[in-house]
Formats: sequence, C-alpha cells, structure tokens
Amino acid sequence: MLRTRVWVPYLYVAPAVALLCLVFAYPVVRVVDFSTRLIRGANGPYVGSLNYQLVWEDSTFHDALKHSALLLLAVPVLLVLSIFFAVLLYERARGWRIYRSVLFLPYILAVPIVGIVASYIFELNGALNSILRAVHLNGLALDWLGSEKLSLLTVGIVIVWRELGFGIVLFLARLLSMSEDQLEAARIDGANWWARLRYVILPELRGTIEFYVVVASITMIAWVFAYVYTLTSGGPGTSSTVLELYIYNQGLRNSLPGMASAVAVVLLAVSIVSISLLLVVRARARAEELA
Amino acid sequence: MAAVRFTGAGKVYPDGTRALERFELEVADGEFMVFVGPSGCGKTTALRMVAGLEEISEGEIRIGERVVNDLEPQERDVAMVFQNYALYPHMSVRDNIAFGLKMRKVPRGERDRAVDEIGRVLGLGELLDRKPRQLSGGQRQRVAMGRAIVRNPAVFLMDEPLSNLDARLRVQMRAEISRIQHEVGATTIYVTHDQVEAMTMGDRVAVLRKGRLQQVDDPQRLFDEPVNLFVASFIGSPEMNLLEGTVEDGAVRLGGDVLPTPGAPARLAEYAGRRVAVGIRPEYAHAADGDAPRLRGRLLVAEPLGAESLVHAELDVPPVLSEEVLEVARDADAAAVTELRSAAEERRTPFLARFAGTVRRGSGEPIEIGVDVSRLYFFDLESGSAIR
Amino acid sequence: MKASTLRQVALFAAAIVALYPVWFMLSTAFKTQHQYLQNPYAFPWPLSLGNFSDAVHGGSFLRWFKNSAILTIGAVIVSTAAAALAAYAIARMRFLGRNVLFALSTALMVVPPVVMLLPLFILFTNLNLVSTYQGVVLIYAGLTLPFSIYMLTNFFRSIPHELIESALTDGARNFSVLWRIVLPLSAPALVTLVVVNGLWVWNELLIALVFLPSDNLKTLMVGVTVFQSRYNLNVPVTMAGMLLASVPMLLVYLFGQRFFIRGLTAGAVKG
Repeated sequence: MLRTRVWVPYLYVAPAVALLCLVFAYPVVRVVDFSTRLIRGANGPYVGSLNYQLVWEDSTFHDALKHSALLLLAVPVLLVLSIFFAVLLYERARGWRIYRSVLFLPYILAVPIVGIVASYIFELNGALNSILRAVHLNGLALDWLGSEKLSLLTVGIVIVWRELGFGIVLFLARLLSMSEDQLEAARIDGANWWARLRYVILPELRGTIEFYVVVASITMIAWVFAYVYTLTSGGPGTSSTVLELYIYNQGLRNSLPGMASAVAVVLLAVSIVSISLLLVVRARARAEELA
Repeated sequence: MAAVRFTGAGKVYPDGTRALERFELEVADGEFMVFVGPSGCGKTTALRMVAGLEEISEGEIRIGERVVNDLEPQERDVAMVFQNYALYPHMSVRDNIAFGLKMRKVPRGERDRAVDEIGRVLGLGELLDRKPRQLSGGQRQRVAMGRAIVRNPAVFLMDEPLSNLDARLRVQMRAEISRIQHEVGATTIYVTHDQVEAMTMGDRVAVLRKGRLQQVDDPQRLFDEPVNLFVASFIGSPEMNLLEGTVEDGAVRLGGDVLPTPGAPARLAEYAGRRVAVGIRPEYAHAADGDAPRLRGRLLVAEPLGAESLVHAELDVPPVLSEEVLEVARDADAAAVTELRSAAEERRTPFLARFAGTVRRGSGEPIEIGVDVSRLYFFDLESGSAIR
Repeated sequence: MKASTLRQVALFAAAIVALYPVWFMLSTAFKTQHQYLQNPYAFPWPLSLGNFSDAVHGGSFLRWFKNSAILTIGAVIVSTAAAALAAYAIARMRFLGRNVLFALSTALMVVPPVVMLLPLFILFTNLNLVSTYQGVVLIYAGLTLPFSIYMLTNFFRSIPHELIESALTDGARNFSVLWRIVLPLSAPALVTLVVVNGLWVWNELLIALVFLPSDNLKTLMVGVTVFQSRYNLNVPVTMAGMLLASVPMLLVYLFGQRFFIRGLTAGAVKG
C-alpha cells in the first residue's frame, strides 16, 4: 500500500465517482421516482403505483418480458457451440488459424449492419429461402421475419450467429493457455475424445464458462436493442418485442415516460436478480467443490 | 553518506502482529551492516522502515541528523536493491539506471554521463540498451546495483539481493558487492537469511529473532562469543553441535563420556551438578588421537570433501531441544524438527565433525571424536544465555 | 469416417455459415437491382459498380464515420483515464470505502443502459448536452467505466509491489509511479480496454439514436439505419452502403487481429 495523506485517494477516485453518479446513480434514482409519477415534460404529480398497474395491464409488456426471458435460451446454445468449436480448433484441425479468423469475423461486423443484412437474407423471397427452394427444401423456406411464430427465433439465430465468434476465441484462448501435459497424460491413460473433454477440458474451462455465462446473459437481457430494432422493430405485431425496445417505444415514441420508467425499474430488477442468481449458483458450486 | 540510528524503533501491524520491538542500533557512516535471522525475524521490516516503505509505529529512525519517521521514501535519500531486483521491465537498462536521477530532475547530459560511468564500473557497457528480460540473472543483479549506486544515496538498502542467483554466481557477487561498497564507501544495510553471506560480507552483523535484536558484533566475535543459544546455533556452517551435559568439578559429563573443561568461565562452577547446554563447533571436533578427550558414538555417513571429510555421527547424549534451537532447525527444514524430537526421545543426538583426509569406515560402526576442550561453549538451559 | 474428417466437415460448415452474410453483402453490392431480383444468391456477373456511387451520394458515410470515430476515441480516453486513477487508488491506497466503491462499481456492469435512458435524456436536455459530442462521450465513458475499473484494478493488483516501492525510493511521487511505471506495465489491460470499450461504443445504437438526432452528428450505426430506410427496396445499394460502413472495422481486424483477439480474451483467460 502506498502511504498518502488521508484525502489523496479521494482525489484519485473523484472523476470516476462523479461520472458514475452522473450516468448511473442519478438516473437510476430518477427513474424510480419517474415510475411513480405522471410525467409530462420533465416532472409530474405523484400517482403511486398507477404506472405499474398500467404496465401490468398492457399485454405488450407481458410479451416483451416473455421474449426477453426466451432470449436467455440462446445462452446455453452459445455456450455449447462455442466450446464445441473451440475444442475442434484446439485439436489443431488443419487450417485452424484460418478457421479461427473466419469464425470470429461475424463479431467484427457492427450489430446494426448485421441486423440489416440479415433482414434481407431472411426475407420471404430473400437469399435463404431462394437457396432452400433451389435445393427443393420448399418446406423449410419459411417466413422467417414475417411470421409471428418465427420472428423471435430468427432474432435469436442472428444473435447467436454474431456472438458465437467471441465465445469461440474466448474458450480457445483459455485452452491454448492450458498446459498440454494433462491432455497428453489423459491420452496415454486411454481416455477417448469424450472422456478428455469431460474430465480434463471442461473442468479446466470452468472459470471461463462462468464468466461467459454471466457476460452472455447480460447481453441477452440488456444489449439486444440494436438487433431487434434493425431486424424486426419488434414485429410483426409485438412478436419480437423485448423489454429494451418496449422501454424505448413507450418512452420516446409513445411519450409515456411514466410507464417506460416503470418497465425500466422492472428490467433493472430482472437483471439484478438474474445475475445475482447466477452468482449464488456459482458460489454454491464453489463451496460444494471445496467441501 | 550518513549514519543510521534506530532508537526504540518498533513496528506493529494494524492486525496487532508485532514485527519489531524496541530496536536499538547505530549503523556507522560508511559501515556495511548485515541484518540476519530466520524468516519472520523482523530484519526485512527494519530495512523497509528505513526505506520509508513501512511506517514506523514506535520510536524513531534517524538518517544522519534527520529524523525520518514522517518522510516519504522519495525524501529520505536512500536507494534499495530488491530481492527480485524490481527492474522496470518496460525500460532499457540505461533508463532503469537513470530513472532515479530523472525523478530528481538531474539534467539530461549529467544523467547520461553518470549512467555511462556506472555502466563502466559494473561492466554493463554493452548492455545499456537492452531490456531487463534480455539479461542473465547476474547481469540483472548488476543493473539493480547500478540503479542504486548512481544516485549516490546517503544509505544503501539491500533486501536479500543474492537469493535468486545460483550458488556459484552468489559467491562471485558476494565479493563484488563488498568491493563496490568499499569503493563507494556508502553506509549499507544488507538483509539476508544466509549466515554465510552475513559472515563474509558484513563489517558488523546484527542477529535478529522474533522482532528482537539478539547480538550485534563483527563476524569473528559473533562466531567466537555468541551471547545465547539462538545466535550460537544460527551462526556457523555447518552448525554448532549442541548437547545436554551435566557440570562436574572441572569437567562436563556428556552421556557416557566426560570432557575436562580447562578454559571454562568461572561462572560455570555455579552450575555444578546441574544440566547445561554444551556447544561444540564441528571445526573443533576431529578424529581422536592419543589420549586427548573424546566422545564416542556411531558413524552415520562421512562426506568426503577432498582435503577433509564431514562426519555425520550419532551420540548417545540427549540433544538440546530449546525453542531457539528448534526455530533455527525449522527455518532450514520443517521436517528436521520432527527428526530432532524423535531423536531426543531416544536420547541420541546427531553430531557433526570435520576429520582430516578420508574416513574409511562403514555406516553404523563406532567412531571416536576428539574435541578441542578449550573451545567449548556453555549455555544456561533455562534462559538460553551464554555462561561466561 | 475418420475423426479428422468429421472435424473438417464441421468446421467447414461453420465457416460457410459464418461467411455467408458477408458474402451476401459483398456479392449483392455488385449486382444491379434487376440481377438481384432475378436471383438473390447468384454470383454477381457482370459486376456492376453503380451501387457504390449511389451509396456514396445517398449517404454521408464519411461524416458518420468521423462522428463515430470522435465518440469512440473520446469515450475510450475518458473512460480509461478516469478508471486508471480510480483503480490506482483502489488497488494501491488505503481509504475508507475502498471495498464498497469497488464492489458497487463492479455491480454496475449488469445495469442495462436503457434503464438510464429517460432520466439522462431529460437531464441532458436541461444541461443543453443533447446533440453534443461532449455529452455523449460522457455517457459512453460512464457506461464503460465499471468494466474499465474492474479490469484495471485487478491488473494493478497483479503488478509486483517491489516495482512500485523501487520507484518510490528512486524518488517518484505517487502520480509519476502511476504514469511511468504502473501504466506502461499495464499495456495488456489497456489493449483490452481499447478493444472491448471501443467495440462497444462503435456498435452502440440506442444512445446514439436518442442523443444525437441532428443530421450532422449522426453516428455510423444510426446513419446505417437511416440509409437502409431510405433505400429499403433497393437491396444492392443498401448492401453497398453496409459494405462501406463495415470497411473501417474490417481493416482494423485485418491489420490488428492479434491485438483484437488477445484484447478481447485477456480479461477472461485468467479467471
């Protein structure tokens, strides 16, 4: 520890604290306050839980909440695919460096651009369906974006498509940093591919898996606006609306800041609860391991 | 240059651990002072208190005439060589050496001249533009020295600077540090836990144990006249043999053998009939010849060292199991303590002696060890203090 | 089939899927509207370059690019600077509230930006910060700050304390220790911050949409959506625009792939 005068450390943290207050603390306090008011302009009378009641009675909110939760299903998909491809690359498949660069490429493209490009590929008469029809898979040539049943799935596929690259290089980097002795020992002990994965590689990846699950979950809850906005704008109808988009629409398009704030508070609670749950599960698993 | 004076200096950590207690010592101007002791004895803490890296909780420390308690490290005019050298990995050797001068706003030209001069003295000329990671251990060590010397500080502080080097290099650097220190003439405090380093390098050596100063003396006196069991067992390589004996009239009984005590201090008579700790340095234990006083035991193993052999024997005499002795044993090897304990239960003690030439005898055979009885050490078993 | 063959098949299939949207963008950009409507997946032949001149005239890619670059560079600098100071204090100084500050700041990583959107918008309207670079740089810097502080604090803690102590005895003051020793040694963490935060800001759409509505301040991401709605029915021109918009990042990736991947993964590999 450095020896300093008592007030010196506060000088060092002051800019960061000021910035955090401006961007996080003050707005969060205000959004909680807004959610109990009938806002017009920048303020309004106190209305208690009215906004929450309105939100609760709005079926779009229920849809948005459900869709945000459903998008969390993309996390295990991402996890399994990332590890699978990372292990394939780690086993030094021929040309693994080139494959790594290629599989990471989607992550380099900006989300809005990905959304826009995908919106044309997935059109009813877009490239994907044209190809499917050309190979006589007419049954699979679905209305990916125009059908209420499929639009959220399509959003999920596009998200996985872009985010997968990060997962792969992340797990690959962790694998490359691990000592090969263990794997060689396992091979000599007669462990097959599956056994090596199960007993050597996965335990080694544990910390990275936990990290990735947290990061990917945060992405799904709080960072999919750009995908949805550019791919479907939440439609058709409300079939792909998520909480982020709902807040944006209510607050800035429909000028219902009170309701938007109420949903923002709900979203904040959802993120805190789900991440805390993850951390608790992780802590418990850690404790069990130690016991 | 300046003297360093500790007056009742103490260190207590926030959690209540006491690392140094009522430390009284004066390091003279230009003196090479070594702090030695087992891990956790407080030697590094004392050094870091001089550097200003550790707050002084009690008493005061002066460098020259200045009390430095409340001065920041950068205001104390000290230079420090760290155990792992702490070279800045992102700077060239030149920039590493020049860093202290730069911080003190020494003009560029002067800085370059000083660095070149130091590079020449330390034989670093070719290496000045390399990065630390391109250097060998010995070269890094030299850069760390150069970084300290170049500033011409009032006091040099060195924290186990040789412990990361291999044995051969360590011997060479030992001589080199001594040479440089004499050339520069700077007051130096050198911390080590290797007593050989302490004995070969220090003008004086301060032995510490559990935050307390045990003895400060020049190496020879420390070897000849240790004030207590701890200093006796810590100083000397190989270690002093310590046996439990009973004082008789003009003699001491060790198991089945009796050694006359011609040169014993008068106070030993006060212990007549009582048990004391008897110390015999391996240097004064040889193959028995004629009818000289001797101890009888069994040979365990003899290590031939060329001109002489280091004899590991076992005597049927109870060992000294005081806390001090155990602490020194533990510092060397934790397992040694258990071994010593089980030996004590069977009332046998390992014993080291230096025999001239080669010992042609097998393990387990009886052996007779001649002892120079004018070189016996006696210690009070209760207090651990030397009887003299 | 042999294991290595299976591996190649799986990777090859994945590579096709990963590349297809890029290929679609590329090939469509070189088609005429007529060619595209006839066959959206065919090879573009003969090549047509007209879409690009339409796209350049129809969009303001250079201006959007400039705006995005200013915001990204500004936000990364502000975020890194504020985080470096705070992390230095948290990692290396003793003060009341140190652990609480670190825990709170780390927890903020899970707060979705959209939660703060409305209050920030109202506040910034009152402060006349809407439609200014400074205002949005502050927001982006603030939003990326928790990650920056987390990353740098952990990294600063891992720097051997002897290096810092050595600098102190060499006569350096606290701030020059940070500037001359700690920061240069933190290059890997700084690369991570530049890549992760830079990418985040560059890709950001929601805040840019709300806080930078005026035409001359639109970012590339907002510009791209505007462009698309303008040329919605002309797919080849839209794709030419998307391709133009992707060029900067593709170039960065092409020349800095090493930094990119290392930066993105450095933080996680240790844990």
